[in-house]
Amino acid sequence: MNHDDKYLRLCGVYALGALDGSDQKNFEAHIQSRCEICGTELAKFTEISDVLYKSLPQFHVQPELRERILFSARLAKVVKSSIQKTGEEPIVLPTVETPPQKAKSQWFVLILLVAVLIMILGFTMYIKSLLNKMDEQREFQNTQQSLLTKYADKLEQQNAIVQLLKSYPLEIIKLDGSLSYSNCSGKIIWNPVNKVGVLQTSNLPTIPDENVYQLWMIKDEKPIDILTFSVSDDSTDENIFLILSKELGEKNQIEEFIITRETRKGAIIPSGELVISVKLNP
Amino acid sequence: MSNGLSKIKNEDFAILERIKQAEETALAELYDQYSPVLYGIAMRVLRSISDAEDILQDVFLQLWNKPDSYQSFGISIGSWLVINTRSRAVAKMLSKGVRHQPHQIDLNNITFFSAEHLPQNEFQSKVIDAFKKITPDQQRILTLICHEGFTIDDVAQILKVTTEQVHKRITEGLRIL
Repeated sequence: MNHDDKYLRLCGVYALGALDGSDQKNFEAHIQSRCEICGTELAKFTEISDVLYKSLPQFHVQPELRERILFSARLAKVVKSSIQKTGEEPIVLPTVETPPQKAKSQWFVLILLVAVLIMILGFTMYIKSLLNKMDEQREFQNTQQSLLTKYADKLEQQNAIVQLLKSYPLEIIKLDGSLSYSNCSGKIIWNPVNKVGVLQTSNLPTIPDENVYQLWMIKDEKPIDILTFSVSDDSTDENIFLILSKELGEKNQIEEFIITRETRKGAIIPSGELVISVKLNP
Repeated sequence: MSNGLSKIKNEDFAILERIKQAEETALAELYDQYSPVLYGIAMRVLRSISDAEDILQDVFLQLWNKPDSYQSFGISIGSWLVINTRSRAVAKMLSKGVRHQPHQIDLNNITFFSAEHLPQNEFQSKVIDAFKKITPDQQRILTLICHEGFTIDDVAQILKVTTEQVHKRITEGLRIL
């Protein structure tokens, strides 16, 4: 022990906690060297210092601080015991444990991939169903549009027919089915002045799309194409068609009306099966 | 004088042994006993609640994690905690570059024991009486350090003396007390 008055003079300052930096370290080193004089002085001064600090007006300490410090201590204790435990236990080489960890990792990646694939598949199916729905919607709209067009045409046709029936003069002839179409019949009503007429048929069978019915007028022994039409499924018995032809003249000038079944594009001369015929002026 | 802070060494030894055994109740007891004083010391230096709380946490956890760091210099755990708290608080203040303004201090308006600070027990009464026995200069120095949280350098600047003179007056004052 080497006493030094320099440190004796610092005992009071150190006791107040007012010594800092290298002075503090040197002082502590001196006290640790068991200098009895300074040690005794310090013990005395720390008691006084404690008294002074304790005599000061107190501040309110938040109760949470106690919990915080004790919790930190508990945490440090757990960590410390965990480190000690690790240090005490022999280290076992992970010969068996490593592969399952890898396998676990691989399984995780695999599951992740499967999940991603399922998500992509689900998303694709969702998009596909959306596209299908859009197609269906578009198709529905087209159907509705065509129905509207059809109804508009029909309405226009009906108006034309009403106008025709109101007009004067009118010619009317009755149509009879051929042998193969004996239950079929019809009428042709026309105004020879306006050159507008209407064809009404009954019980004409529906025919495939590649075929059409064609109405001919025989005049001066020559067939004249008047109208090409087909019979739809939704019409049950009767069908009415508007005829606009400059050839629709006086009844006595027309020799015969015939309806044949032709190919889709229609024929130049009657060449298909005869369905209905009526002779006006044989 | 003796008080609750300066425990006899046997008691300190016992509680230190319990801390070495990681008994949380020992730390809790120390905290309950010393935290008001230590918090006051830290607050006077740092003047920041969060910083003061951090200092207290550091001090108690140092004792908890490294109980051997409490070297018995012939001082109690309480004194060790006081010195440690104060020196840590000063170090933190200096590291943050936040200094009190020594030139703004009005020496006529500082007092260790204010008029409204009545002694709460016989012990404090004795301290107040003893404080009156030291010189006004020594009273100012102890007030600036303990009550106002100034460093020795600040005190030397305020009083326009050297740090050695401050050291000397502290020692003389404490001897009288």
